[in-house]
Amino acid sequence: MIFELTIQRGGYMDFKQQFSQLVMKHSDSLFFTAKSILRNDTDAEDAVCSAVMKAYEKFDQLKEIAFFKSWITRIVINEAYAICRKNKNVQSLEEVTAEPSYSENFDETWDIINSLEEEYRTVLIMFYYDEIPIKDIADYLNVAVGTVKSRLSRGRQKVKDLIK
Amino acid sequence: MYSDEKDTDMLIRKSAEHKNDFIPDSYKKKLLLTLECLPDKATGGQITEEADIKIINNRHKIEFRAIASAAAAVVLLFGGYSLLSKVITPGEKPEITDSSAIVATEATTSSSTVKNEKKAVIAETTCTTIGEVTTEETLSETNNDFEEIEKFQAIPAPDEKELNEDKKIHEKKNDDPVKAGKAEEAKGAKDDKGAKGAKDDPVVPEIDQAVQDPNKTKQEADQLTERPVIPELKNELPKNGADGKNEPEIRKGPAPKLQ
Repeated sequence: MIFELTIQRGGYMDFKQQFSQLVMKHSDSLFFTAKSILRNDTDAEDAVCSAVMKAYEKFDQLKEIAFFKSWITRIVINEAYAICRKNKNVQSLEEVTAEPSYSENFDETWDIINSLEEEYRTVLIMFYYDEIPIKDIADYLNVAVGTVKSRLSRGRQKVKDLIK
Repeated sequence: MYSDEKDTDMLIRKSAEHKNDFIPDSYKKKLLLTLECLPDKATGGQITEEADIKIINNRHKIEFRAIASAAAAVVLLFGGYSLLSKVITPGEKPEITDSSAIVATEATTSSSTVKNEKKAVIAETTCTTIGEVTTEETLSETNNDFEEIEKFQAIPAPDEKELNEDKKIHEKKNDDPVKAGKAEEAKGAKDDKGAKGAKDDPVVPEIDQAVQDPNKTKQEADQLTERPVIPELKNELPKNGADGKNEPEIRKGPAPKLQ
């Protein structure tokens, strides 16, 4: 139980506070997970926030705190796909313009990866930016490990082609 | 991985080194706001069986104490209303005295309801029941209002033995005519003169006796029977007809015709 773990650490912690700390610890990773599925930044933000609220509701069902990251990542992925389905017939302005934004934080590689098809984009972001192991990616996406590997290889090739 | 791929791999890894730059500022703000707005909620901690729950007064205050080893958040429910949603530490005695709690308890429960049902759930977390009223003692000990009513109603009925003894004493008294206030009646049986008066009013015979006393003068006898008048008021009494001042006017002539 979460409580037992809290007590073992020797301190009494508010339930909400504990949950918030865990979320903030993995917030970057959660954003990249959502971004790997959704091209739009705003949609990715929405997916994470929505997932956080759902996770909070079911937090008492989590048996071990060690599984928190994978548990919430799965919720984020589900939420991202739900937004994808919702926006199936809607194309955002960002996607239409598709021009690289030459801002301070501009990164060509990042922009190229974001312009790839979903199947390549997802695995590349999860593997490189989210640092999720191949086995876990396969588990999250419900595909074989070999499929993830081949998508990574093809994705890299596509990036190379686009950079040139 | 081919050599070409290796180069691309290195390129992407280099990009990922400053991945934090790709996260918009709005994301962190939005996430913090979401976390802030999360409602306080129970966790389903196991303080349940060990929780010591007391109803101090069914209508105004509920007190409970957590004696479990682990801290737990508790949502206290009473008749379906959520009264308290907070984390309590072991040994803490949270009391619900806010207006919402009072309204909720008044609306949904009464002492009799809880007493009859016995197992009325008064506290539970979102997923597990943390306690219930199991004994009547808990309620009677703590419910002051109810106790007062019970005390008032608990005057013991007289014993049948005592009742019979009282009856015998009463009958014995009635057999003795002097003790029973029948002295005059007994006298009257011999002398018819005072028999009736004694029968009618055996308690206050003095006035009648004084009036009928042949030694007293008529004036003295009248004074005894006359109603006493307060001397101060006597002068202020209207002198009807004595000097004609307060005498009402007599209307003369024919009566007025009705139109």
